[in-house]
Amino acid sequence: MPAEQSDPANPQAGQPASAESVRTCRLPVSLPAESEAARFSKYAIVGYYVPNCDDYFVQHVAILSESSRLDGVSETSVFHMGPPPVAGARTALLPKARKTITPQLVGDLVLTNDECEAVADWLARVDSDCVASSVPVLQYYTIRPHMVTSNSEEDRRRPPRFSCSGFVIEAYRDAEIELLDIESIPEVSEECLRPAYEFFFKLEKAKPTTQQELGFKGREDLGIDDSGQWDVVLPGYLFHSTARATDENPRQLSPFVPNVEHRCFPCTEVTVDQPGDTR
Amino acid sequence: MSKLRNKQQLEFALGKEVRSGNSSGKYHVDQDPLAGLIAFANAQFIHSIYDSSEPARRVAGVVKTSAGRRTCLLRDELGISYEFAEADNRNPLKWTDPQLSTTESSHEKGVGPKWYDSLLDRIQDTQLPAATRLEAILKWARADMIAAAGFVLNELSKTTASPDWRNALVFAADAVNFDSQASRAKVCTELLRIARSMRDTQVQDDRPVVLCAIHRVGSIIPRSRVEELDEFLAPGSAIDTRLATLQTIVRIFEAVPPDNANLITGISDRAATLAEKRWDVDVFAAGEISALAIEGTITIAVLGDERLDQLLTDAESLGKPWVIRKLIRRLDEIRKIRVDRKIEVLALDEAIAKLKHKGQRDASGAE
Repeated sequence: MPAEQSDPANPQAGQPASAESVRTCRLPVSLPAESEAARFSKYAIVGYYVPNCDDYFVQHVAILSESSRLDGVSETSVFHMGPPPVAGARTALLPKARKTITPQLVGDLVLTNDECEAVADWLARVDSDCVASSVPVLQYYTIRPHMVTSNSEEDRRRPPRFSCSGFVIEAYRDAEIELLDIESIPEVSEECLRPAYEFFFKLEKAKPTTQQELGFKGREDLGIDDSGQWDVVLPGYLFHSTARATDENPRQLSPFVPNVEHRCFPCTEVTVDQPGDTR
Repeated sequence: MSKLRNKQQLEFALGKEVRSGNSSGKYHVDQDPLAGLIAFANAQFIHSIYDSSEPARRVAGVVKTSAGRRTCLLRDELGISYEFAEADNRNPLKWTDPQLSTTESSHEKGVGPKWYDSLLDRIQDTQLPAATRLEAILKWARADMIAAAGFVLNELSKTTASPDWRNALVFAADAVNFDSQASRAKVCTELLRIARSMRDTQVQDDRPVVLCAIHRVGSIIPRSRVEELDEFLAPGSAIDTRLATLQTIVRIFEAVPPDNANLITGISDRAATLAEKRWDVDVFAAGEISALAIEGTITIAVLGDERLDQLLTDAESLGKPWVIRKLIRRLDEIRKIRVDRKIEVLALDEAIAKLKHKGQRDASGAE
């Protein structure tokens, strides 16, 4: 049972939470993992790529649950939409909850204490909201839009479903950081989506029992209708958004307007692995 | 309206209508209560059957073929079964008059295909792990929501369930839909009983059960019974219990305020006290405590309670801009929901204006 504890007001509100610098980069960074330069801030945005892909197509995005040293190969603890969501101690108990990932890229805006507190507050509410352990994992999840809510039999709002990008977008939005211009998300085709969402497309052909276990109710339930083009918020967009920030100008950013190329970070084909390719 | 043409395309939309998978048309059964469905051998379905006394009574059914002859077994949400037999297999739309089946229980074996019976075996096998039985209930619910929901309600009502089975039933109650107001009211009673009995549990794995029960109750409890949530806000309740309860009360009243706030003073007093204490500078911390403070304040706002103004002053005194911005955003969300429903929002407007004014003062002070 969580204990309620007092916590004196933080005298450093509004100041950077740590000495890390604002940066967005692929991992590993050029310095050894033991060095302080490999440490990234609490709630920094992290992700990993589509495996065995010809480009840097970002497949998944999450936020660091604690300030962490990242080396590109080690697992680290995150909050994210797995699915199911992991937003704290209670959602971490959900069946199939993934509490760690191996980040391959990071977007660190070095949130201020003020911003960290706002994100912590958001996480606490999501952690309290999403606790039904019989809900099949895909019923916590959506592809498009990035967040949806449904109503109960009495027409009352039920807990929202998020995409992995949506989870991060909404956590940061609660801290007044608008990472993306949600009204300007480009439409992408199935061919374009397929590398990152192969799992879902394969699920369409899976056995009904597999579909049922995961809560797969077809494309439409995940927001993929018959139109053939969808404005899906791809995880890579978030890293292009954070890549604009600098230590001198960490927040004076308008919401990022992505194009389809921004699904990759960086937007180049893989030629040679480039450790320390920072932006 | 289109007829159903392809069994594979059918999606069963929990009774209100039967929809063809290509979304080109919707089939309403009021034109032709059975003909559109029973044309498909071995189909299973849930739809509304219309009669003059109960115009939206829900029915779940199975059509099965045996020795070239089809029968259609329907079960309504009261657990009463009707069996139709095909009168003439050259004309599948002609059926004999329904006969009241001797099958009284909607989850009795022998009424469906083999997989269905095997499912019922698993659900009723008390030797199996609760998780296995829960999985079977969820599968059953996908095929026959009404019967599965009826079973869950029936099992919830038994006070002798083992802890594992009780927990599984709470999660099952969250996953199935209860069609009638009467069944929802009963489910609330049982979930509240369970949540009450587990409120102070120290078993970490049981905490999600309590929270799940509270959230589920909040999603269906009649507004007239909302005071029954009061005890989950009381001192001694775990912090997560209180947070879940506040979240649920906000959702009950965010769209429409209570008809008579004087009837829910227990809830509003608790929410106000809870928020007031958490806004104290020596207590406030980001995370569950801030969430409690904010949800408590928003609860007071949705209830239309006059103490909102003081709570906003308390929140302002913390000097945390993110708190003010978050309160503005939450109040504005509720304002928009109510404006859409043409509900008066003057108090919300005043609260938002007060917070914005404070924000502007802080900004000019900072300059």
